[in-house]
Amino acid sequence: MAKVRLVRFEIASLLNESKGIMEHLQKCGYAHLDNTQQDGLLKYDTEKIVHGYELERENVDEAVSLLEKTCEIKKGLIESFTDYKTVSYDRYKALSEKNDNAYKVCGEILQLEKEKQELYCSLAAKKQLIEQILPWQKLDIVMVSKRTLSSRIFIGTFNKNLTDEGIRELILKENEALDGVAVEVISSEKLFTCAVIVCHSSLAAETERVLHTLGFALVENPLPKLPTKIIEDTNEEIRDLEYRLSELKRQTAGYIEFYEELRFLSDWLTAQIDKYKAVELAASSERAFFISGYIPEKETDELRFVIENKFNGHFEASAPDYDDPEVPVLIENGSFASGVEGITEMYSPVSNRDIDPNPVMAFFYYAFFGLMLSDAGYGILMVLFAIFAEKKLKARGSFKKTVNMAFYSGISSIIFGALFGGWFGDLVPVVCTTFLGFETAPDLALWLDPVTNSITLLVYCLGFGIIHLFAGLLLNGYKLIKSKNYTAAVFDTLPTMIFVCGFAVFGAAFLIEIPPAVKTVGNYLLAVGAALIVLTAGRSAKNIIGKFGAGLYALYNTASGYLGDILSYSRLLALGLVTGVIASSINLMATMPGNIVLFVLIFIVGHTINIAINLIGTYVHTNRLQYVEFFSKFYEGEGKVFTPFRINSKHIIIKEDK
Amino acid sequence: MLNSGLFLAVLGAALAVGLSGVGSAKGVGLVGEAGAGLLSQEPKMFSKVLILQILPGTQGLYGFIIALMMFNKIGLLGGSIAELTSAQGLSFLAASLPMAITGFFSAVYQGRVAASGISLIAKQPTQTSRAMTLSALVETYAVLTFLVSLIAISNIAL
Repeated sequence: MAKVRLVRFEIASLLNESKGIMEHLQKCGYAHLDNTQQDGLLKYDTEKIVHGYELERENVDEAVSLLEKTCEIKKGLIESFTDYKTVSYDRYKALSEKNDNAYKVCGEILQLEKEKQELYCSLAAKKQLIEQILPWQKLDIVMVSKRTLSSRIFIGTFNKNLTDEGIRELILKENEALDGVAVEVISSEKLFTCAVIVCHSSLAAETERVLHTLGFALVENPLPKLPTKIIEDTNEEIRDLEYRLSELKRQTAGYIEFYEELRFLSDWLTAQIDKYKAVELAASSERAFFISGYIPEKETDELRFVIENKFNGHFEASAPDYDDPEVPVLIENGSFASGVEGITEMYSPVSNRDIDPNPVMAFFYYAFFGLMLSDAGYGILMVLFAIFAEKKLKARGSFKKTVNMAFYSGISSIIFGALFGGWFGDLVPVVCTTFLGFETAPDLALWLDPVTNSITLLVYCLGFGIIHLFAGLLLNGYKLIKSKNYTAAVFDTLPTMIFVCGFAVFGAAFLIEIPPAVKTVGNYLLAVGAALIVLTAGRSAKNIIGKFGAGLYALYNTASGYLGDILSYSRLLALGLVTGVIASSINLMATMPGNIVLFVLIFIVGHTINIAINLIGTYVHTNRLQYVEFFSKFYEGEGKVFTPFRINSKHIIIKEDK
Repeated sequence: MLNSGLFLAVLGAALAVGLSGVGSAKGVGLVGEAGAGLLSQEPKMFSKVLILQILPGTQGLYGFIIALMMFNKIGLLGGSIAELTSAQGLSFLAASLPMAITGFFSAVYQGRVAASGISLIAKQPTQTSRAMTLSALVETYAVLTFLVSLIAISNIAL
C-alpha cells in the first residue's frame, strides 16, 4: 500500500572514485547500504578513524556546552527544537573548509577550561584554609610558636567543649605537680576547643605526656604568621584567584562568535563518523571499489546517471529478493497515516511479508483515541498543541509524526466529546447553573450521555471492536490473496466473520432489546458460521477424523478467542467514563467554594492532572487494542527498517539544491 | 434510627473506592520503587518510567467512579437521599464487590508486571511499548469487573 518500491543496486568503480561516490550517496541520503561481501574482495577497517572522530566530536560538544554555560545561552524547550540553520549542500561543503579554525577555537576553549579547573581547585584549598584558621583568630602569637627562653608552648585542640578551668582541672587530675601550667582557651565550640597551654621548660616532657592522654592534638602544619594575618593574606589571594577566574571566563565568552562554527563542526564530525562507518560496508580489490544496497525505484535513473557519468563507474540495478530478511522496508504515508507509523514500529517494524498496516490502523487508532478521551475541550488543547508544534517548533522526523498523531487524535476527541457532550467534563452546565443562574442545565450531547446510557454505549463500543477485528481479518485475507493462497483467503476469514456476526447478535440480546427478526437471522448466522468453521478449519489435517477434530477445536478457539477480544473493547467505554466522570468531579469541587477565583484555580490544576492521567491511559490502551487485538489477526512484523545513509545533523538542515 | 440500607450501600461504595485505591497505591508504589532505581542511573528515562508507573493507577479511578455512580444513584450527591431497604442496601454492597476485589488484586499484579517492565526497559529502552502492553493485559479484568459493577448499580431498582 504505502510501501515504497525498492531497487537493489550494485556499484563498481575505480578505487580513486570511492571517496566521491560515498560522499555523493551521503549527500543524496536515499540509499540503504548493505554489507558487500564476496570472496577475494578486501574489507575496510575504519574503526580507528571513527574512534578518532568520535573523540574530536566529544571535545567539540564539550566546548559548545562550555560556551553555552559561560555565556548563559539558555535554551528553552522551544528553541532546542528550532535552532536549525538551513544551508545548501554547496554551502555545507564551503563551511567545512573553515573547520580548522573551529578546531583551534575548540582547543583554546578546552585549554581555558583546564586552567579554570586548576584555579577552582586552589580556590577551594584557600577557602578551606580560612575555615581552619577562623577559630584561632584571637590568638596573638604566630602559629608556629613552640618555646620562649624558659617556657614551652603547646598550640592545639581538644575534641570536646572545655573552659580554661576545666582544662586545668583535667591536667591536675593526671598529675598534681603540673600546677604551674597556664591555660588559655582561644575559642570553643560544641565538640571542639582551641587552646594554648604554656608550661616551664622543665615540665615540658611531663606536660606533653599528660596532654597526649587527654586527647590534645597539636595544630597540623602551622604557619609562621599571626592567624589574623593569615586570614588577611588568604583573602587577598582569593580575590586574586577570583579575578583571574573572571578573566578566564571573559576570555571563554569571547569565543561566542564561533558558537555556530563549533556546532557546525560537531555536525560535520557526525557526518564523517557515519561515512566511515558506512565505508566498512563497502569492499575493494586492488584497483576497484564495490558498494551495494537499496534505493527507492524512482531514484534509480538519477543515481545511474551520476555514477556512470561523473564517476565513470558501473551501475547495476535489480529487483530485490523479498524472501531475504535483510531486504529493508521503506514506508511512506501521508500525514494521516504517518501519525501511527511510530506506534507500529514500536511493536515491530513492517516486514516484506506484511502489507503496511498504517493507513487502515490510523483510522481506528484516532477513532478509539477520541472515544476513550471523549472530551472536546481536551481535544481542542491537543489540536492547539499540534498546530503550535507544527508552526513554531518546526517539527521534523519522528517528532513530526507524533505531532500528526496528536492532531488527528485531538480532532477525533473533539468529535466524540461533542457527541457525548463533554467539554471539560460538564463545564458548561456547571457554569450555567452555578454562576449564570440557569434553572436547568442545557444538554450538550449531540448523540447520547455516556453516564446515563452506559449500556447502549457499551454495545456500540463492542460493535466498533467487531469492525476493528473484521478489518484485521480482511487485511489477512488481502495478504493471502496477494500470496495467491485463495482457499485460505476465503476459508480463514469468511466463516469466522459469519460466526462472529451471529455471536454478536446473540450476545447483544442480553444487553439491549433486539427485534425478533434480527435475532432469528443472528441464530442462523451463528449456526452457519459454526458449521463452516468445523468443516473448513481442519482442512490441512490428513484424514477425515483429524479434519473434523481440528475443525471442532478451531470452533472452540474462535468462540473463546473472539469473546475475549470483543469484550476487551469495553475499555473504550470504561476509559471514556473515567475522563468524563473525573472531569465532572473536578468541576463539582471547583464550584463548591462558590468563588470565581478558586473556581478557576481548582479548574486549571484539576484538569491539568486529569488530562495528563487520561492521555497516558488512553495512549496505552489504544496501543494495546492495536497490538493485541488487531495485529494478532494479520501482522507479522520483524522487518528491517530502511535506514538511509545520510547526513544526520543536529544543528543544521541541508536543503537539497536540485 | 440506623438506616441499615443506606449504611450497606455506603459500605459498598467505601469498599469499591477503598480497596481499589489501596491496590492502585500499592501497584503504583511498586513501579515507583523500581523506577527510582532506574532513574538513579538513567535520568533521561523519566517519561518512560512515568508512563509505566501510572498504569496500575487506573483501578483506583474505576473504584472512584463506582462510588460516585452509587452516590449519584442513592442521592447522596445533593438532592434527597433515597430511603433504602436493607435488601437494596445489600444489593448495592454486592454490586460493589467485583470492583473492590478485582480492583485491589489486579492493581497489585499490574504493578508487579509494570515493575518488571522497568527492568526490561533498563536493559532494552526500545521495548517500552511491549512493557506497556504486557502490563495493560492485566487491566482487562479490572475493566470487566468495573463494567459489571457499573451495570449492576445502574440497574438496581429503587
